[in-house]
Amino acid sequence: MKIVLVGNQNCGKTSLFNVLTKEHQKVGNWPGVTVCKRSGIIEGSSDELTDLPGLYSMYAYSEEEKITREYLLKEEIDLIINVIDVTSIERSLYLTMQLRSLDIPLIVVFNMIDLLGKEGIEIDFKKLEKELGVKVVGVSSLKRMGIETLKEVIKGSYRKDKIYCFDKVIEDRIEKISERYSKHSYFYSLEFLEEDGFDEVIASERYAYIEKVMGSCFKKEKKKSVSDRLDEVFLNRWLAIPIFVLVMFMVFYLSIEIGGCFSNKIGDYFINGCRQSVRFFLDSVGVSSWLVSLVVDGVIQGVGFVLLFVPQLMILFFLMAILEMSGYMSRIAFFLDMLFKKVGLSGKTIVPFIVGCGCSVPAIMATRIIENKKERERAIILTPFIPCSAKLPIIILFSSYFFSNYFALVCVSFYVLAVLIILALAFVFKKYLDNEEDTTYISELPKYKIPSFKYVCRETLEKTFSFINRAGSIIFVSSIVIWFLLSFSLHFEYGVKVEDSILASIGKSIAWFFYPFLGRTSWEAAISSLQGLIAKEQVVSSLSIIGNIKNLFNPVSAYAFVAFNLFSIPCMGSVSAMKREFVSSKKVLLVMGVELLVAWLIATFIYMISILIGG
Amino acid sequence: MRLSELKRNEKGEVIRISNDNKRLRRRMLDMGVTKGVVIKVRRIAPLGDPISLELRGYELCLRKRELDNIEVNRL
Ligand SMILES: Nc1nc2c(ncn2[C@@H]2O[C@H](COP(=O)(O)OP(=O)(O)OP(=O)(O)O)[C@@H](O)[C@H]2O)c(=O)[nH]1
Ligand SMILES: [Mg+2]
Repeated sequence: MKIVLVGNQNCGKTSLFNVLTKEHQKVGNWPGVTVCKRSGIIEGSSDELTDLPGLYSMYAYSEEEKITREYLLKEEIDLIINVIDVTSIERSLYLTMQLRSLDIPLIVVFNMIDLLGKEGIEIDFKKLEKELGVKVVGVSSLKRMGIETLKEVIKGSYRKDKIYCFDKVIEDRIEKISERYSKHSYFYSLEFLEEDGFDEVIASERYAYIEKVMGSCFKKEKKKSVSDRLDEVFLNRWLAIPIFVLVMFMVFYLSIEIGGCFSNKIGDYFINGCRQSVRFFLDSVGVSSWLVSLVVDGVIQGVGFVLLFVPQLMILFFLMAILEMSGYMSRIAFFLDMLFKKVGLSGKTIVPFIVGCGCSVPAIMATRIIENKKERERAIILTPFIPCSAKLPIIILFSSYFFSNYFALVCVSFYVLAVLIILALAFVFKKYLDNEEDTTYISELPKYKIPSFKYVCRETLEKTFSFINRAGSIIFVSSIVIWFLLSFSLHFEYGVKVEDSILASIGKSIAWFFYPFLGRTSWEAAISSLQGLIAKEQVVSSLSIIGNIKNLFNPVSAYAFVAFNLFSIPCMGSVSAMKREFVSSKKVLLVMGVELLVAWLIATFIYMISILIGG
Repeated sequence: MRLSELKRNEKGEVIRISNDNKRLRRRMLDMGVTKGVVIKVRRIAPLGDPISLELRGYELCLRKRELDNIEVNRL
């Protein structure tokens, strides 16, 4: 059987999906976390369950809503599970009314029943079932209540009784047009009428019916919610923005400072220790010297060096997961919208930006929640400028080597620089490249939720494992390749001087490009930046294999070099994500060109200014 | 009067939605901004725009410009 989860944004579809299929798809407390479909098998059965992006109405407004609409209308589906957040039933039932009109069996699941008491809500599910004419179940995905009942209901038979929602005029018209359509005729007839000027009547009558249902099945006591009190502070006129800046500062500062205790102090000893003991062991069992060098100087150095940054990243992932689960994201979007609008972006762009601190690939996909096409394109172009977690090692390494006194502050300064560049570029795009056009901002403000500790930990571990995984695959292979290119000359002689290696020859041919902001020709820097295109961690990994970073840079060129790597062409993964969203290779190539140019200009500018000031 | 003229914590009953942007108008209807619904102005963003409204038991944020197109009776 093919079953789909459909419901408003943020009602807990993915949470329910995870419970039913034992998968670990991403959950977060803002509208539009899921932006593409995902399927799994319901545990203990052979039914296929598909989690779809949320939508408020079948009349889709943004990209992710269109995906769900298309899926429902085009695919053969055996059952729709309509998920509803019990804390906003009235609005949610609007979609239920639309889903009812499709030729697909339907059951309605009221999620988050664990919150009923706290919110002072009473629901008469029996009566509701009668009024809606479909099977109704109450569950909590978080506390796992009602899940077994739901599974039983899925196995059972479904009903869809006729209900009378529209007045006679509309019903008569529907009857007349409905024979034009072979499938979903009731739905398409309604849609035809809506297009034909009846949209307001139909919407009003749907809501009128819902109000009637609510009146008989639903009670809520009036009280000031915790969310409200928190917003008095977090959305306060004077405090909102300072608090936001402080929160973001603390996220980066804490990850870098606390996580850094480990890697900065004992990192080098740790790696050297590993290298020495492995070398000793391999030598003693008589492994040939080139293989020893491959393992020790290539793999252990390259992979181990990247792994040193795991503590910082874990803390970053942990804090970000809390941020994402709390409900604060939508607030940031809300109060930054005015500022972002001035530079031609939607407030919602903050979602891809914050997700982008972890990884640009999901962040680029997250731009689907931005309904205006132009604003969305700009968001896609600008998102990779946010330093992702793979770029954090570059930032940390160079800051700790060259700015040990102000280490964490220098690290954070790169994030500030990124924000300034993004705002400046957005302004340029808006002013010189696109004509002004009307944009809108429509968003729900979800209630704050206490982040579930289990979810936060799982999210942290998952992201950390994916980082380690990459170290074990991409970085591992690249380290071996680097070692070979570094150990052989163009004539394939082993054990040549580094200067005569293949790697050096390649690097020297492009080193001129880096001269203006390094103040010297450094093939080492050139090669490692080139490698950053595969994965950004590779920049530090390859530099550590090649040689002594401290001798290759001075503080000024180090800062410029980091800036270049942060803002130039992102890794392959992001480029292909961009291509998926743009559906045009030409545009992507253009964007890559712009990125390279911008990064070069910024790095050179930083270098020149510092030289001028510093004399 | 227009919805945008209401002050914080004031309520109004919607009497007309006039918007030339058809898609946007339709979306507002779908989100529950229909004739007769009571809307409360909950909060104004620190920089003056957008504005968060309370209706049908949830909180919806819209820009001021959109609120200009909604006519209400102050309650
Ligand atoms: N208290 C409580 N919170 C829940 C429950 N189910 C989900 N949540 C929370 O609701 C928020 C949204 O959950 P998701 O599963 O991401 O919602 P979704 O419907 O997939 O959202 P989109 O993908 O954005 O459409 C998260 O913060 C969840 O932790 C529940 O049963 N009880
Ligand atoms: Mg989801």
